[in-house]
Amino acid sequence: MPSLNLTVDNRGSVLKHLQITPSFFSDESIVGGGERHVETFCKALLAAAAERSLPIRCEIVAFGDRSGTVVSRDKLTLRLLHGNAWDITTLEAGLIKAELAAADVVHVHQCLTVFGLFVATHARLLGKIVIGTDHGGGVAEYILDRHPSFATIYDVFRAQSEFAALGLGEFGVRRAVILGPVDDETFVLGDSSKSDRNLVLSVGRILPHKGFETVIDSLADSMTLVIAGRPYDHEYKNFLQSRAHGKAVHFEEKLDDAGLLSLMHRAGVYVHAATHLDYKGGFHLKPELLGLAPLEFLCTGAPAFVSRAGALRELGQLTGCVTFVDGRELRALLERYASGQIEIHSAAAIRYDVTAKYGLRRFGRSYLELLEELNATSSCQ
Amino acid sequence: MTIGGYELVARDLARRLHSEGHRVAVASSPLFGDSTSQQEDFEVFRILQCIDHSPEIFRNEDVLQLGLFINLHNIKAMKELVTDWKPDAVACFNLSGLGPFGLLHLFHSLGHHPIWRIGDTPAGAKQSRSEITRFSRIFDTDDVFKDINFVAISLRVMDELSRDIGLRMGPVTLLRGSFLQNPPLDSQWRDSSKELRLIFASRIESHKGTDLLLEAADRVRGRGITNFHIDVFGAGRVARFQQQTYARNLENIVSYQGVLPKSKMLERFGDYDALLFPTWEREPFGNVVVEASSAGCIPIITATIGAAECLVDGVDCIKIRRDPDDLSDAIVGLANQEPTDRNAFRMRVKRNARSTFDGDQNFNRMKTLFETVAKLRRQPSASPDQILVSLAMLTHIWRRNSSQLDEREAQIDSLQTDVRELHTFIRALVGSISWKATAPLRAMEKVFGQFRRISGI
Repeated sequence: MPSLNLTVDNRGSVLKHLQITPSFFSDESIVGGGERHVETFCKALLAAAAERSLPIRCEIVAFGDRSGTVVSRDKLTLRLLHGNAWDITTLEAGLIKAELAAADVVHVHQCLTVFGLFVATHARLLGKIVIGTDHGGGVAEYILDRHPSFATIYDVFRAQSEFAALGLGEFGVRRAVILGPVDDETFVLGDSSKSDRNLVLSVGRILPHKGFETVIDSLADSMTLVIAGRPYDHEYKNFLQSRAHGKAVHFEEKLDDAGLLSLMHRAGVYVHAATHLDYKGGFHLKPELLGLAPLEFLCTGAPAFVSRAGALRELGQLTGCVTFVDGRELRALLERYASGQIEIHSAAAIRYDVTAKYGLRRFGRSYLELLEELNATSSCQ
Repeated sequence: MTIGGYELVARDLARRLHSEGHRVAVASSPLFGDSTSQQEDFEVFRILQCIDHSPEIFRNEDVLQLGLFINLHNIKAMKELVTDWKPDAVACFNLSGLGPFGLLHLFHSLGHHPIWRIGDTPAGAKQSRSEITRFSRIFDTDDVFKDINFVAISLRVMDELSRDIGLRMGPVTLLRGSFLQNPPLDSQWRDSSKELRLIFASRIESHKGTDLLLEAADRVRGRGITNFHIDVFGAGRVARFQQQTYARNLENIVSYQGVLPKSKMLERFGDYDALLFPTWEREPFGNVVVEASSAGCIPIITATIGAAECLVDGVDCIKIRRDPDDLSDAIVGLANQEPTDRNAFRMRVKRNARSTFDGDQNFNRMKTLFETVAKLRRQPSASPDQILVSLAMLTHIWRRNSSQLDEREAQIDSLQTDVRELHTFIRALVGSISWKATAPLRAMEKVFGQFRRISGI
């Protein structure tokens, strides 16, 4: 690893890394993607920096219906600014710039939205290193369709998967794929003697592109399915409930983090059936840009079956993870699993592989390398 | 480097800086050339697009946005010029019609603390206060304006910018008058005689006081005074003015003399006892007052104009209310003075004008300001190309944001109209049917009434 000086701040010796995200990861948040992500991101970066005794301050700014400071479960501090990031008319450049001014590096989440471009532009004008990540929250088409080169206000797009990188290819901005991060400190191995082989788990917000109906339809007779996630689309939820009629399907809408982990430890297998084409025929360009839920499950040491939508197909390379193309393949997979025809890797092997590729350490180290490189480039200019 | 509508004051400053050995470049538009000026010795780049800021055109939102806020053509042109030419300091003159806010953002981002010499409020600004607020929310104009060195021609102009338009400004230097060399005190003039010689030299337009001038001349004559004559210089609505002069039978008293080159005009003021300048109340300054008074020509001026801020009525000038009675009283007062008294008044005006509108001092203060801002210059925050893209991006976001807000306001207006009409309809219905049957309608009418009171519709 190159040993470059990370102390870019002329006023002190600490590199200040600011993540700015439109969503405050609360119950009200709906856009997804960047929600727990920013927190995990900070954990990974701080851990990697600590390994090398690099002085870094990692901060988060988000937007909500009030201003204030929120301390997360991992004791990370998030500053909340008043405003709706999805409605640019509610934002004020002066307040955002005050946050950006103290940072050396600004990482903008939902980088292709109007919000992302707005924040990144001010960060650029303040002379910061500007990095963007897309989480599928939308694209400011009226700007980027006509002027894709405007995206060059970013120094680099950091993509959480190869699939995410694919969607960033048209802008002439350098792309850096750094997989993950998945919080492997929180999602740990469970007691396998307590798990129920026939318990199938699916996690995600109840939205059509999650394709839960495919899991319901493919369930083997002996199996019980738990769908854990908050219902954001009640019509879709009603559809799922009618589809689940007569089957052992349960909906868990209000699980907290501990409850979810406990459920993961009890489940025998995880299924993620996200789809580009939903139950109504609606097309979703970016149904999964990472696939955080199956990655978290794999960290607990149990197997996962995932569709090939979006970034999910990349998970097929992981130990313990098998991909399926459609409901027919999933049904066959689940039947083979139920009858014991599928070889299950050891929990340790499953966890080892996923953490090695997507875990906090791996992510933090790779991201630090990127920062060092950008910092060196920016110092040379 | 100066930039602007190639106003005369910018030209004077550029010439004087150049004559002292400084390297000067002027960026301007092709629209406002001075046909009477000679070829300049310094570089002039006529690369900017000036949006004609007549009120008729400014009703068009898009044109207003280009002329008042940001014009990406000009941003690009100036980005390239500043990058190639690498000035130590940037001074902007008015910028009206060039998209001033965008240009100031550009210079600021390129590391300059620009000087903005304000001779008048930018065209369209007063009518666009809410749009300026919207623009500022997207661009954070306050952050840029705190680093601009404002050079104001009068307090009136600064008041308009801060009070009427709501701009928060950085340091302000008041520099009244021109940057021309002070004329010699013993410059030639023509002594006052029995006949009172008056001059008007400005645009031939109603708001500059031409109608008032004719009305006052008529009244003075009506009071039996005939020992006065008015020469009128300037471009504008000349035909209309001459027709009015003819219609009032004033052609023996008021003579239109055409347009003279600046240098010739300056020489002429000494031939007259007084300058008539009954211009509109919001005249930002009135540079003609400096030119006339420096030549010993007593300014008769509207009391509220910028130039009046530093002149004493009856000592340095004659201040009037802007009406024909006051103007005719002022003329009659001077006409009745003995020529020796009038000469003494003129000499005092000339002497005082030199200290009040000291062109040499203004020039030296401007040079000091250039040195100051040159020292404040910092590295650009990003590469010029990135700055260009950033400003273009913010422009797109602002315009979209603005149209969304306009749409919402239109929806609210429409909703208000609907509610008002519905309320009126229900009230009419209540009045037209029997009392028993109206109970639900009365309840509904009451609800609508409350809704209108609360919502202010």
